[in-house]
Amino acid sequence: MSIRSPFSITLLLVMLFFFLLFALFSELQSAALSSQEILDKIDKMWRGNSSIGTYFMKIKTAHWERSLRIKSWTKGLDYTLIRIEYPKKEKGVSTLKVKNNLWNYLPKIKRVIKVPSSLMMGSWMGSHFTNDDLVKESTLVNDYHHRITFEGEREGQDVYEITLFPKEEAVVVWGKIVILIRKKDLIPLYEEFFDEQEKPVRKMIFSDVKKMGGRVLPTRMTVVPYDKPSEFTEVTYLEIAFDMELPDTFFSLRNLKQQGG
Amino acid sequence: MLIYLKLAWRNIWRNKRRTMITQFALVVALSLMIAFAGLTWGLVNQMERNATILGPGEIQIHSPGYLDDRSIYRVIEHPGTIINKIEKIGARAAPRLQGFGLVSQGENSSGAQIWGVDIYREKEVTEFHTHIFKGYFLKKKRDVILGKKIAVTLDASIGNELVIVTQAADGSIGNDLYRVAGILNGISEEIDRSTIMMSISDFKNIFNLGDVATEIAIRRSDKTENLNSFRDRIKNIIPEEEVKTWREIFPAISDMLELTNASIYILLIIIYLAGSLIMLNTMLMSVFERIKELGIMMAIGFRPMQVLILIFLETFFLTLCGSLVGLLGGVSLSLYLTHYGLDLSSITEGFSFVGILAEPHWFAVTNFNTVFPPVIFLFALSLIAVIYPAMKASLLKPVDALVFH
Repeated sequence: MSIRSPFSITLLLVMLFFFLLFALFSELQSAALSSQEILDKIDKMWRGNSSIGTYFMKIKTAHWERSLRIKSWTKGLDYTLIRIEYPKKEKGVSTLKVKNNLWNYLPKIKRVIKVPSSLMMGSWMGSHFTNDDLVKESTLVNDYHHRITFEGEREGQDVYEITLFPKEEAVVVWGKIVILIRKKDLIPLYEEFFDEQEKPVRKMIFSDVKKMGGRVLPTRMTVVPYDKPSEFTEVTYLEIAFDMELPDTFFSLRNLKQQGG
Repeated sequence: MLIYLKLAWRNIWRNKRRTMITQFALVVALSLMIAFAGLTWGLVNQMERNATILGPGEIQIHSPGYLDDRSIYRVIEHPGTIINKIEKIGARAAPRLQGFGLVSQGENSSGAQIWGVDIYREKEVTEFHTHIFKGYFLKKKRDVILGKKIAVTLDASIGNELVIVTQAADGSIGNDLYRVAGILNGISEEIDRSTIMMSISDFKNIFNLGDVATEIAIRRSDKTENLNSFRDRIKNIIPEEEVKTWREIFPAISDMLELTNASIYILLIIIYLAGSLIMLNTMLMSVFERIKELGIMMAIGFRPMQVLILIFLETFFLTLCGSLVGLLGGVSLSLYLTHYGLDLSSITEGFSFVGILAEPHWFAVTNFNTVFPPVIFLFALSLIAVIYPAMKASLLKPVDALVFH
């Protein structure tokens, strides 16, 4: 017995050590925000329960450059209606998103067409946003595993880095998404999108953090594709209002035609 | 010399049954080979046709780099002047524009490859206009014709209204209404599944383009002219653009067709190997039967060389008789297949082969190239097979042969 006792004490100490470590770890865990909470907060920041916004979209490609003025209505994560107000040629061209479906309305020919799922990666109205970007927002948290992969100082700011990997069964277009978020106010700095080979495809940069519609949020979003670094699409909010009363019927095919016409 | 011929001719008919059986084997082998060669050439010709005059055309001109990056911005400026130059040397040329769009009919929509074609010139270069399954070729403004499968995807039939949305060259959104004028027959995977054709002026409208083309398709005036030398002639007139034959643009199809042609020779060797083994056996038996006789002939002055010639002559006659009948049988079978074809439509709706569609009604071709090689190969292999028995006979020693039992 006397020979064994030092071993028992060591064992006890080791166990105690692990216990303390574990307790400390769970303490830290509960104090910090989970990636789920951060992502939820970001989602809410832009959308609220509902939103009505007007913004400029500047698109620059190797061959042309153009600006659109766009008005958008959102409700929750499932409903979005977007209408082009300017230039004249596209005035009234509208996109309706209900859950995972997307329709475009073309006032010139007065027709509504559904965007097929095979074209979800196609560009939205010639910009560097894909049709999928409009649908995606509501499914990001559902379709991807997410966790905080970095916490600390980067680019001179205290940040969280959240990495999203697609769930095994999810049908998604990105192989990985990395989001960098400012710690002090949970404002995102950028999102980086990778393909299945984890090759970076594009970067979405958030800037011009301002108070608008009663909230502090980045009012400019710039998408830069990595394969064409001279091109970009820049969205600048002109005004935005949150938590307005919008009935579900507002987001109907019928209203899509009326709003556009 | 005449005596050899007489001797050889009489010798082969000494054992009538054996000779007939051997010849029958040759007849079957040759007939099958001629018919098979005819069918294979028929398939290759049809697919080559589908790959050229029912699609890209024999030669294509593009702006340099277009084939690697099929962008609407890599265009040939003023295609009219290039077409004039090509028509001056007697060939036919048609400008084309190709782009991508979203097409919708009723509740259905799909992405599609959109072709703008010159309604009149296209008919001189390709044969889309004769391959209409339903309806008619482009005639009026806003007419479109659809590939067979995309018509099913869109559930579109003649007269239906079609919406097309594109990204125009200036970045704006092109959209317009069209009318389904025709649906194409099966041509190639790509065209069937995703292609919509409209007039080149409609295309320029929706894509907001000026006097440009992404492609110029060319057809030779003289079909017998070598395609590569024709290409070089075009290259000389139009040095500033990229000129390529369809074989260079679709090497996989070209290689596959070459390989199909080579398969004739592979089968030929397999079938003829069996035939020539029968021949070897027949002649070996006939030599062994006649050892005594050959010994006597040599004893009375026949020289080994003369015996060798005799055996070869016998083989030659055997093959000649067999191949004449085989030629008759093979050519008539092949002609039948050329005229009436092999109708596989009850089994298949046509199958695609490296992206090129083969039609279910399969026609053979009968020409010098399908008949001559099988005959020549038959003679060559028979004569090779008989080297051994002929050597055996000519090397006999008369003394041994005479006492052979």
